Amino acid sequence: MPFAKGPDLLPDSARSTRCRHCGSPVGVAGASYCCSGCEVVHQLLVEHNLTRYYEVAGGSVLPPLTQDRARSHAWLEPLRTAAEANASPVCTLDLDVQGIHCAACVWLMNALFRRAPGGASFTVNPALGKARLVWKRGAFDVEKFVSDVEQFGYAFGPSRKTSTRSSRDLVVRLGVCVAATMNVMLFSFSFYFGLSAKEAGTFELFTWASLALATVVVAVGAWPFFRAAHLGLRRGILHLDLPIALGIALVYALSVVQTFQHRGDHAYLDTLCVFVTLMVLGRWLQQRVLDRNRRFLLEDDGVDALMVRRRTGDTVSVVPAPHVAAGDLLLIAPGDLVCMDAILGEPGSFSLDWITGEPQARNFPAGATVPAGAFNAGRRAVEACAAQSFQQSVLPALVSARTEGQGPTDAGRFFDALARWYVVVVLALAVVGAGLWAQAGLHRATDVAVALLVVTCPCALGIAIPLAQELVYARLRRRGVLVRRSDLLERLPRVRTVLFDKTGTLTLSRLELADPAVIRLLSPDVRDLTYALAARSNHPVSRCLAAALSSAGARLEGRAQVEEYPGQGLELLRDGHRIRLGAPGWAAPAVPVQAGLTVLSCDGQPLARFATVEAVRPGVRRVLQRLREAGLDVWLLSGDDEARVADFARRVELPPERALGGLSPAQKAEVVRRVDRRDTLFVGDGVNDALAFAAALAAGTPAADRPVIPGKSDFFFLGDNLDALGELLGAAHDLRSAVRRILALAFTYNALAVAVSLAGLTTPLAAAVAMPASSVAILLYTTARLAGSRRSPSTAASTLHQAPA
Amino acid sequence: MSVLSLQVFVSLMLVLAAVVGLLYSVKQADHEHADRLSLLPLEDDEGE
Repeated sequence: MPFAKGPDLLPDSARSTRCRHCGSPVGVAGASYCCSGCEVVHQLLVEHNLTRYYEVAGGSVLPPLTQDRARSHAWLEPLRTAAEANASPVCTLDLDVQGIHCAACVWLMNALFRRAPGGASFTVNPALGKARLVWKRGAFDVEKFVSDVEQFGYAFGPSRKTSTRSSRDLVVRLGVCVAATMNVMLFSFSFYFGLSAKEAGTFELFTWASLALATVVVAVGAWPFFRAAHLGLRRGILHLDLPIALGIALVYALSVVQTFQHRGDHAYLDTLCVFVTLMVLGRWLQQRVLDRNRRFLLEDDGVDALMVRRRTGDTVSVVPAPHVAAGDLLLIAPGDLVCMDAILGEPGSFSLDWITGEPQARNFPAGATVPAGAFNAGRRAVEACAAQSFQQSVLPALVSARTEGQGPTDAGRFFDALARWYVVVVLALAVVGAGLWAQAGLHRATDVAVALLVVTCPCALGIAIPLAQELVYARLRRRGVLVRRSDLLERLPRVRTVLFDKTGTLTLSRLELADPAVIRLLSPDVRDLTYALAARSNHPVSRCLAAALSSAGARLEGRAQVEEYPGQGLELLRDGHRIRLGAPGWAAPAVPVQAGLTVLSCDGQPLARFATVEAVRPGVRRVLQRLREAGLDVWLLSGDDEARVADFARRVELPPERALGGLSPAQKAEVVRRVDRRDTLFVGDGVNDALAFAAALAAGTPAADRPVIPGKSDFFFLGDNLDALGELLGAAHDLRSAVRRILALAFTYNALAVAVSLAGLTTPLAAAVAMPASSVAILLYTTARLAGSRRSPSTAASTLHQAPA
Repeated sequence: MSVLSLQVFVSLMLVLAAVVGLLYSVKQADHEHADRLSLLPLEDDEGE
């Protein structure tokens, strides 16, 4: 399988160069950063003299979630107003934060807070991804602080995250078990070193203290196993926790009997406590990384999270989108989402990529209808009138599309069946063992049965496999791939068809020059003249040209009166000449109109031509090629124009019959359903992919900064590079291989242990020693197998420390 | 014997205190606050 090792996807030259911000392989030979987000944030840190961030991070930096458009803060206004409504001189506001991954993030936010005047205190809880902001009334600009922090790739949102009861529950149980078990172990040492009933006072004290603490461990730590076993029995299911619960109960009962018979040195309380603690640790490990990955993002609150600015008379209030009716007057600020079809009262520029996949912002005249799902991509707020209510728009169906309920996977069914058979076989063996040794007396028969229950170790299923999953999740997290659903890695090895959205998924929602060499061919005068125009506009073509010209050494002239004509281009009047940079039909009518072509002209005569295309994510061709070589069927499904999709398919060397354009959200989902044999992976970023997400076996997104979609995905990845997908598929295969080996080792140990026990060659005490020894051995094997490929943080850190400050 | 009893009692009280501390920390939802707490020594020398 070509994805047996994810990192092998990278060429050697790209792998040897690390990003100056996050330390990931850059993916493109000669580049300094792995993605534009890293470049932006690195430059901001240098500019603001915050490079200590790298020292604090110690090499554990992840690529940031930077956004291509301004982020709407419509949700913040009512919260700030409510916080400032009380009479207290200080105001408090709790917010959720997206993107916190290490101590350096906390340091950075605190450093920015200390620079903002009027702030009283700022407390971040990185575990939950929450922050508490306290400020002096009227002296602190909350919106500015939030915007300042968001520049660095974080995102704030209303406080919705809560610590789940189950994760808190396991932490408490684990803490109690560890504390009590350590003390039981200390008491047990005295028995191992010869404390006997001859020293009656001390012996009795240590025995009863051990029993009291072990009772606490059993009551607190083993309770989840007793509960699961009980629930399983009530429903007629033989749960894996049944033999665990039975083993714990039997060993505990036997130890109690020994204690009452003044034979505490023959009790198994230390082994019992260690076993229970390890089992709780396994459960907690299984849950911890997934909880952290889920908390990395803002909570998706569905349609209630979508806010709209509604104008009533002379006032504007921010209300939830479902409260808006047809005919309501709306104010759409830059970055705001249009939640229902709206008729514009004035012209504006809107981006439709989230809803249709159309890559470039489109200009709408006054009176035109902007579709629901568009974002205001302009620089100013636009007035509009709701043409329909929110419920009548397409958004509720897309936002509410459910991706849960995929049902158990093959792997899940395998583990359930394995656990059931394990339970049946272990219980049967205990009965057989007791029967075989019945003629040797009840005590001997009980010893054999208990030894069988204790020595047969379910730690492969109970601890080693959760540990293996945790190690893989953590490895992926370090490489910027964050898994949100616990069964994803079990589903991925089944994937035989991968379907991609185009805009924002395989492309970067920005433009690049089709032929970068064209810049080098410009004379210095023309180069500076083009830069003088492009640098003064925020249009995607201008941003693309300005970046390329700046890299080529263009100089910005001090004064230039540049006029921007929406939908046409830029104009500069100089020395009686009309210099234009824009669409061919407007700038130089003699030049034939061509999609993606921008012309620089002087008095209508062309001086230079710049063809732009959508920027492709680094690694796209390589990853698509490797996917096809691995025998996977690769599709491109886009809502964008069919001609653009066909052109893009040619660029990434995808067969034309596998590239479908002009698809509505329902049509995308229909294609997924048509090709799906419970083996499809869909990777997309827009809300128009929501139905396809629900139809696929697994779904992921590179757009963790966008609303709605991250909350529906099984995983998301950070940074621009598509190699993350290869990492994920490789990790899923690594995990499957490791799990198979763990099961094989566990089977071998259990078979030997059962044979020895049935032959009467072991005692419960020896079994109690063998079982944790086998657990530790299998855990060490798992750790060595899966933690070996951990990237050395020092490599990345040393590179980063050398970055100019 | 009496010294041992006292030591065992103190040991158990320490266990109890640790558990109570953990419960309080979990209730405050700051039990995974190691990232923030590790930065506290840095706060004094951040002369912005």
